[in-house]
Amino acid sequence: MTMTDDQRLADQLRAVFDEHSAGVAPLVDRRAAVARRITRHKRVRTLSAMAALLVVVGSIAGVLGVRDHRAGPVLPAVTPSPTVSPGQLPKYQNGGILMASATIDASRQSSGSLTFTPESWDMIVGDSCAVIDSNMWLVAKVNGHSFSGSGCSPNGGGGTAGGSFGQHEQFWRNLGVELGAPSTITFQIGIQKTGQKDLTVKPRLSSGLVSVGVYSPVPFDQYPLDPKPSDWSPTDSTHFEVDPGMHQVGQVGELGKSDVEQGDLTVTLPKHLTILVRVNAPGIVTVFIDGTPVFDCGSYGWGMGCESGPVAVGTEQLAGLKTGQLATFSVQTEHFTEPNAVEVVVYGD
Amino acid sequence: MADRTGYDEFVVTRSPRLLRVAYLLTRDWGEAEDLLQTALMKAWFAWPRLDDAPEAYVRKIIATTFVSWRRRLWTREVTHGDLPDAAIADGTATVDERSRLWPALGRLPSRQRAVLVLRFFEDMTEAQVAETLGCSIGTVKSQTSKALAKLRADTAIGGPDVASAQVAFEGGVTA
Repeated sequence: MTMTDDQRLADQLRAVFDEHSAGVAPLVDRRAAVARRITRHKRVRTLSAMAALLVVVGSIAGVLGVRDHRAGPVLPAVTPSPTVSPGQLPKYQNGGILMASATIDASRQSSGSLTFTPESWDMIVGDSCAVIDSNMWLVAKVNGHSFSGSGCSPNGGGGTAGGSFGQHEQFWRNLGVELGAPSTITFQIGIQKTGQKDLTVKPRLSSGLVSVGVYSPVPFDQYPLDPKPSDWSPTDSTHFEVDPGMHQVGQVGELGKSDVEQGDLTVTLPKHLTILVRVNAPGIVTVFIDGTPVFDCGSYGWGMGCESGPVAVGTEQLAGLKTGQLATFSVQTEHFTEPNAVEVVVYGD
Repeated sequence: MADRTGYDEFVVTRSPRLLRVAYLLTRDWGEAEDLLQTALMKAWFAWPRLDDAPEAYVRKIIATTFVSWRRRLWTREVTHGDLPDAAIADGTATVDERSRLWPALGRLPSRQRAVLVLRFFEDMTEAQVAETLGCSIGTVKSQTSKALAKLRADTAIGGPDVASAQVAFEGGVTA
């Protein structure tokens, strides 16, 4: 084959590609469709990951502090929360109990506010926006500081908008929150404005309900877990997509097949790490690097999981570690009632 | 809140071109739209880290997601029941050659198709294709060479070779 033949074929390919891809694509409101995907994905990530805590390496007290807090005030035994109406928040979600909330009728008002007095840095903000117009967004500010943005949909769902049970004092202080002093969450629904640095909306009314609320943590053994689904399988778990540039560094345990605590994983640390925890049952997973806890995943549903990253090795959250060094990952599990319920996959780049 | 300035504008201005890339890979407008939206969603989360090259990032997600989708499908691949007509050189006119190229492209393995789309539709260098697909330049060269050889054998463009046409078919199982 000569270069001329190759060139001729290449030219033919260019022409074929141009001709065929110039066909008429179906008309879709791509921005709205992508926004809905973002919202769904964000909910999946936050539903599981908000209960997770990435602890500074070298700070064992960080995790112990969280555990101490989880073991805090004993709450009365509770039963699983009933199904809530679209646009309202469940009493329990992601390891927390709803302490305060505000709901607006979106057909009458496009904004609302919630004032609360925090007594702990361990809190998450939940939101739900159930309106007919799925092009609309719900944005929230805490004490006037930009905080979150979530897409709306007719069924709304319920998700976590921000915060964690990880005692993120600085996170909240940056939003002007002080313990024992009132803080205010203001929220607005509308159509997203483009070209803005922060997510902002042009107010609009629609039919439905919108809620924002604050959750405080509940000790795991007193959290109202749902019963095991009748169609549950040992390999059921959340599917996560990691960044395409990340490759799998190693794995500990395998859902339904091998116990995560039976073996360690020693790897050369890459530049960035993503730790992915997949579980098939409720429980708490702690991932250690060289004996120090670095990732804490609390799962309160059947077949969920947590995703950590990506986090730069050697930076704040993984301080004390260096790219290129050998490190050993180990895993500890608590509260799981199923065998081989945890799988930890480490990704890096 | 993370800075996502420019994301909406990017979606509006660059989507048409990226959709064409996705279509050339998937050969189905519905799948292409799904693939593009998947990539745009991932880009939204990564946007604050993308600096000045968001299009390269999205194109990379499109290509790698397409290849990984196909890999998954590969495990339950369905083979053709009938052999295609053997390629015969008959001095076919250019238009006829193009009409044979399109179905032949559909019979290429996913990675080879991705290499050709990036090389000849996006006019990327071998190094850029390697970066996009996360493989070596040598792999890009070999995949390109194999893909072109299969297309020649399958379409008789650049000279017929019945023996290699058979090889091309066997390697061209579609997912």
